[in-house]
Amino acid sequence: MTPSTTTTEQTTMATDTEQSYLRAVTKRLRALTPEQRAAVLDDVRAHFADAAEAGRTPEQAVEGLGDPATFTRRVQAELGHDAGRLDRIRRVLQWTAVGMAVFTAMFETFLWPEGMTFGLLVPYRGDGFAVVLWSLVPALVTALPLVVPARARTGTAVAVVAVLTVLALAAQMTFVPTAMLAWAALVVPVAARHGRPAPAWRITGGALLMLPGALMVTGAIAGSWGLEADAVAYIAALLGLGLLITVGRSWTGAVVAAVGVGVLVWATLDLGMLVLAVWWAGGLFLTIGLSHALAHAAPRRADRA
Amino acid sequence: MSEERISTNLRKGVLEYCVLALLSQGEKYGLELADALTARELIASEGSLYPLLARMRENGLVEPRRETSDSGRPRRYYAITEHGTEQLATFTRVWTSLAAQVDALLEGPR
Repeated sequence: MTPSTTTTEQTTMATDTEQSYLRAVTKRLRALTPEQRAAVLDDVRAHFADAAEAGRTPEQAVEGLGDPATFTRRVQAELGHDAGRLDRIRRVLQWTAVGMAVFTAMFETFLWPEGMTFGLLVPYRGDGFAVVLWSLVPALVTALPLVVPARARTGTAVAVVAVLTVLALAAQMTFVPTAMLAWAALVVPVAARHGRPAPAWRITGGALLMLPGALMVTGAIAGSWGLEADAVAYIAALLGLGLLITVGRSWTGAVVAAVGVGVLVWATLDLGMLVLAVWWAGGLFLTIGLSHALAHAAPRRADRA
Repeated sequence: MSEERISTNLRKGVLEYCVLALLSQGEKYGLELADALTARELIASEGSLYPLLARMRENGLVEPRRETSDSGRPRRYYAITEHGTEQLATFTRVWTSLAAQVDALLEGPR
């Protein structure tokens, strides 16, 4: 009985090693079309079967293929998937965060001169050029991850996000959109590292955009306020934007990001009671929309002769 | 440049035509192809063959076929396509003339 038991054990082990290899490869090849991915997985399955028939152990089969990360990198390189994609996503988001910080500084300095501080932390009062320079400090801080050497980049980005988050929440809430974009520059490349992010990301993003609209509806139903025509329009717009994000297409993100920019500009031009909430909403639209657009952009193909 | 480096660079350009040449002699399954290439020191391991086959498949040079092997088990064979055969013929012309030129240069003036 011993030989047959051994055979069964070997078969089971083969299946385990093979299954975990296939899972790891599947996970890393999300950027490929379903047909391309299926074909690569068929190759790997055939490889394990042929190796077993040639008397090689599953471990030897894996050794021949290389670890899943190396193997999938080679597949992507051969199929012309561009390696610079994640770096591009990160840089675009980080630069947008810098732009946002500059825009916020302008907003602070020129439109709200009385409230010009990084508020509680440094109650700076001055005039002219010094104020403008001082107000640009957050933008310079935000730009740090773009200029440090590659190996210090992640550490710097984390530190910058921490500083911006504290600044935004504890001192100057107008910097919340800047902080959100800096967070996105950190998180989106990770979420999109194997191709398009898992659907849970865009569902969460969409839900986040719909939340204010849902709250307004709930408030109206509970009788806290009446539903005016313009409120209905806002709610519809919020729900619509949220729905756009749940669609896994790049252009829907671009639309939401454009609406975000529109809202931000509108908030600077029309200073009402709700300005901070509107400012944040604009920042949220821009962050989620841009992240979505970048993460779902079609992979660029390297030119081949 | 080290010998290994020169060799790697040169092999990179001709590898897919070597695959086509092997397949033009008859269809082969992945491991068979890999063993043939490793024996000729054209690739280091199977790990570089399958990614290459993925691209060649994409470009219509080879196509996979499911056939029953001698052992009775279904097996994934690769066959050269018509387009692949044309490409191989073109490569053969280019290689023959290039190799002759390079050989002549290396031998120096007589």
